[in-house]
Amino acid sequence: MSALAFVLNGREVEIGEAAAQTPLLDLIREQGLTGAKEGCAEGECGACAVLVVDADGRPGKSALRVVNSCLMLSALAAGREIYTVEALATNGVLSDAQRAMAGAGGSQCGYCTPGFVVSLFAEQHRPDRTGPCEDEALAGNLCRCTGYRPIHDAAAALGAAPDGPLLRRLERAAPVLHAVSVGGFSRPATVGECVALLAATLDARLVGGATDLGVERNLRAKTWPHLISVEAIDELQQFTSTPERVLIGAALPLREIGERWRDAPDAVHEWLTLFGSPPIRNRATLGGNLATASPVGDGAPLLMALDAVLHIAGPSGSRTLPIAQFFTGYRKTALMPGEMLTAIEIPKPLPQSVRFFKIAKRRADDISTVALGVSLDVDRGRVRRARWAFGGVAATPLRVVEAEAAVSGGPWNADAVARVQAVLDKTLRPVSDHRGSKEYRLEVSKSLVEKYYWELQS
Amino acid sequence: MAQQQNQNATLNVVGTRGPNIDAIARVTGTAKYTGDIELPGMLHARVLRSPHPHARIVGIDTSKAEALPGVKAVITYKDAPKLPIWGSRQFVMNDRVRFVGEGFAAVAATDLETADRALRLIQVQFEQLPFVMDPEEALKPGAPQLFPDGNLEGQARAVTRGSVEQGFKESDRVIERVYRCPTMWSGSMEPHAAIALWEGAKLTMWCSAQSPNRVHMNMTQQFDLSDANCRIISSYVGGGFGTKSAPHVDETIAALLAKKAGRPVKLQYTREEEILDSNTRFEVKMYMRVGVMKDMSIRALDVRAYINQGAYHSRLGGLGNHATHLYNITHLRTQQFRVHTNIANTGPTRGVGDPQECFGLDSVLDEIANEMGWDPMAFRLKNIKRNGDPVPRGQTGVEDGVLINQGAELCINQGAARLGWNRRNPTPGAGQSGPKARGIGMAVTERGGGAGLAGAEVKINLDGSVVMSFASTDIGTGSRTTLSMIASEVLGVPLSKFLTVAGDTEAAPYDGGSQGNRTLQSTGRAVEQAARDCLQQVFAAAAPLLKAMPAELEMRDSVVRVRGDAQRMMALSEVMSRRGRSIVGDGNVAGAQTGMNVERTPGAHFVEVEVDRETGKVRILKYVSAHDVGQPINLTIVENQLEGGTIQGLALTQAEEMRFDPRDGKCLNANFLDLKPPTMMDFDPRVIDIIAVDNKSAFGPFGAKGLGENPNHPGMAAVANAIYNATGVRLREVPFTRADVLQGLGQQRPAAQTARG
Repeated sequence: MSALAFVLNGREVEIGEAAAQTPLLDLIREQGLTGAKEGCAEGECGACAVLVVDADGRPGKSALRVVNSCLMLSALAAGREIYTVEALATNGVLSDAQRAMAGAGGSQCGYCTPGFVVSLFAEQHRPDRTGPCEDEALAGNLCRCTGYRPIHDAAAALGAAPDGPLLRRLERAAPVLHAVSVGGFSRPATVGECVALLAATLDARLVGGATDLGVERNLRAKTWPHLISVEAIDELQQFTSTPERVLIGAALPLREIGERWRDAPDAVHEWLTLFGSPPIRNRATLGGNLATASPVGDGAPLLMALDAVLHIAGPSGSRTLPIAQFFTGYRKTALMPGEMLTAIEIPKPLPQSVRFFKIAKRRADDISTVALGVSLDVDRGRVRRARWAFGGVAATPLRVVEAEAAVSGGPWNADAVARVQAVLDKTLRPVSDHRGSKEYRLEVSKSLVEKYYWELQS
Repeated sequence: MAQQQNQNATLNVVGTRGPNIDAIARVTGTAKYTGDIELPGMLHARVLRSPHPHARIVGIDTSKAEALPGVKAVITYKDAPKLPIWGSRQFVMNDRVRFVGEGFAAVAATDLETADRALRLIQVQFEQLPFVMDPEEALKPGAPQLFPDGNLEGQARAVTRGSVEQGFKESDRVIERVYRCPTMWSGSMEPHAAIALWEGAKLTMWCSAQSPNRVHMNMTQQFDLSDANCRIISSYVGGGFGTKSAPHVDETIAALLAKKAGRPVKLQYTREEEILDSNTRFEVKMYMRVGVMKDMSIRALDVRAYINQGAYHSRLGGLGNHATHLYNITHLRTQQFRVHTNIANTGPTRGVGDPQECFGLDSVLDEIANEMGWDPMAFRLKNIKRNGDPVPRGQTGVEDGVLINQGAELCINQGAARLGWNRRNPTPGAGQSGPKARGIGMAVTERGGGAGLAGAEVKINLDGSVVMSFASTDIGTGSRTTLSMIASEVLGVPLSKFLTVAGDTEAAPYDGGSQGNRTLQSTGRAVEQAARDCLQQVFAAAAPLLKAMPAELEMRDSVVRVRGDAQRMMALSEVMSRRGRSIVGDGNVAGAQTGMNVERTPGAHFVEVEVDRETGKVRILKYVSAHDVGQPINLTIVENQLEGGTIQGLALTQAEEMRFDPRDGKCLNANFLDLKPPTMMDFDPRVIDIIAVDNKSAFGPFGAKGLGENPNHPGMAAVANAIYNATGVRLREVPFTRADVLQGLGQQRPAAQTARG
């Protein structure tokens, strides 16, 4: 197989350098496979969902991951094995997911249906699934007709995945991503190579899962002179947990963080779920989320509450930086030219109490109006350490140090809550936009502190 | 996936459950929507759109775009026909743009990227004009004028019965309130798409339309074609909800480009274009005054409504007919001002103003019931129209007809029982402790259906298989399936033998299309007629073969039998092969309802909510959606339609408002992320309870009623009424954001935000 090719429904497809930044969806549809469709080009609706064969926690085996093919730039598919809805029926016999969707009336106008079928198929074939198929697995697919109940019924009707070519495929390892170097696109295999590439190509842009980059490409017609994919760098995919710290590779997809950090506090698992829909979590990375430095990014508030330390590699070697010093302005970070995030370190012991709150209009797959990461250690009735870190209330994610000082050393009670709220009144400077007014953002920020207090009491 | 056994002894197919007959094509991805169709040599088009809400184009230079390799045609407003689009006042492209997103030039190129690049090479000089976005502002003297005849579309639509001033004088209590539904996105998963192919003088167009014949009429007018020289095909349509019910500019633009380039052209909107330019759900501001008597009767209702049509309308907006057709009101006046402003173009969405009217009317009725200390449900039952009550036959105040088969009371009673209305605490916000407050609310709706002309053709092939053609479309309502079930019932041929050709103006007789709750009743009657025509021809052919009279014959499971004689029978396939010629039956019908009798399709919604007083979050605990559905044709489809429509109505309570920047008229949320249509996680589908009230129609095939629009109506009012019952906070503007709820609570309790200790 050439360096820039992938396997689609068992058949090799050449990408070609000219199409490196073309959405994978377009390439798939050009093959005459029109089941996957463009519904939004922003990773919101899942009409373009396809399946990627990916590494699994089980050594030597693999799993099917749903991805939004509209956001996946074609070059990122190099060396991968991809299946579309057209591959799911074998010899004219519908797969369970298709039969269940048809039988329950889960398809009305049908435009979203191939995407739902793909998501449901992956959920049925999820290796670690023990209970019924979960609705959350379908949270990245929008349907305007059904109201979702028939789709829920279809999901609930599925048992264990029956024998079939794709189930048998998962008994073998996923393709190993090889290094790629073609005009305008590179996929280095080590951090050293990546740093060298960054130094050599000044106009290069790093890309992780492309869940943000793909939106820039599709909605703002952006293209890049040179993209460097970090997906083949093993070091960036690492995850280790020791008594001293948790170390998360900057390019580890969000889904895998949850799978590998099994004893993480509940707040971490909730945080990962609230981050985005399954197709987004299958691709998005913490490194990408932090480096884009969105003031409403969900990564920073919780990581700030956990006192995370960022590992950075660059032309002059490696360094570390506390996350509170990382954001220097609106969409600006402390990364110097040629530097890249390699890992996120979370020191242990973890705080006694940690919580993440996300206020958005929709329960899943939404951008925060306000987010709060909070942690608290109380010793003998006195607050030893508190962290209040907000998203959506300033030009950067914001750790409110004054609010920490306001409660430190004192008892954790209603007066302490009031003191924190008084500090927030003075320090938060939210702006008004279409997601919420500044007044609402301030009020809800204060309410969240109170909500946290009452949760701890009960 | 066999159709399950019917409960009704006399019917074999109608009333059963079962999957859609085209479900396999949809779940395997083989169903071809317009965007999936590829033609040899086909070009791809993009439209250049106005960045200004109101401007005159004083100069345009397309030469650089035309010179770009790969560009095969460039058109501007100068090339556009000088005719309004059928049924509206919009021209395809103009030298004056009236909303951000209005197209005024377009490019066809060998690929989309080239077309995009070409758009950037077109140089335009605008003379910006003052703009107005609010319908009331637009009617004031000195307001920017969109059209030579002003901003008001025609005359105010008025309905008057009795004297409202007299009625208010007589009333024991009168209240006046203002309600507003903003411009809301109402589009579907599939954006507008059109492919134009010219072969000589003949235009063939594939497009995503609810009414191919309306598109056909527009194309024949725009290009001066004979009916025969124009073919419109809308086979698989990825949803419509009204936004595709009228001809749209994209179709004409594709045809103009294809004509100029001499090659087929595909134009598919992006999501952003679809949101900005798809005739979305119009804003309505309603001033409502209602007067009641102590005996709970409604003495007078005065409604003044401002309908924000945006720059253009696909079909004229207005309110529904709830005030005239749902309640007995002694003195009634409604005035509706349809106003043009410089925001996105609008049109009907799952009812023409019904959800909006329902929000205003059912809110003000709830408000006055609460003020009077009445049970809101008892108040509605006191005033609701019942069988035999006088009712207008048209959209006037004159009650010249008689209401029949009215299911409103059935819906209210069954819905209330299912939710447990008797649990409702009559005092708003009473008996609540802690941060969570619960409350119960309701709303009632109605709509007509089955209007206009319809046609269908049924053909029996030599092997006994059936091809049914109709020019209305299946936009997700399951009409391919339900129409086939009607024909299957009539013919005695199993559904598995059916193939449907939907939405093809050449293959099928004229049909008004799929909108306004009409397909099942109107196309359904045409199908029934066509199937009966076929059956008579089958019997005529079989009679000599079976040595019987045609009147003695019947057909079941594709076998023609002599009634009462188990020995004499012949398979349909054998009858057909012996006949040696296929059988074609046709049906053409006019509007379903005739005479003095008037039939409506009502529904009632009941909801229990939980409001978080600290974050303002509203959660739906239980929702009952009870609808008069006539005779269900396919119960699975009925339930799914009702549920889907209900959830879509509920979505309006929390998001989907289109917001426009007052500084530059731009839409602030023209993407899915910011419009936030609900995902699977937003409304637990298990809390929605559907009641399909079987209340047979006198007009529809086998007593069926159309029901696609109604479940979309009552959500906003029912939830607002429940939030009031839970908290005492009255929300008069949708959507109901957490900020709105918190603000309402804050006004009740100034210290709401302080910590409790």
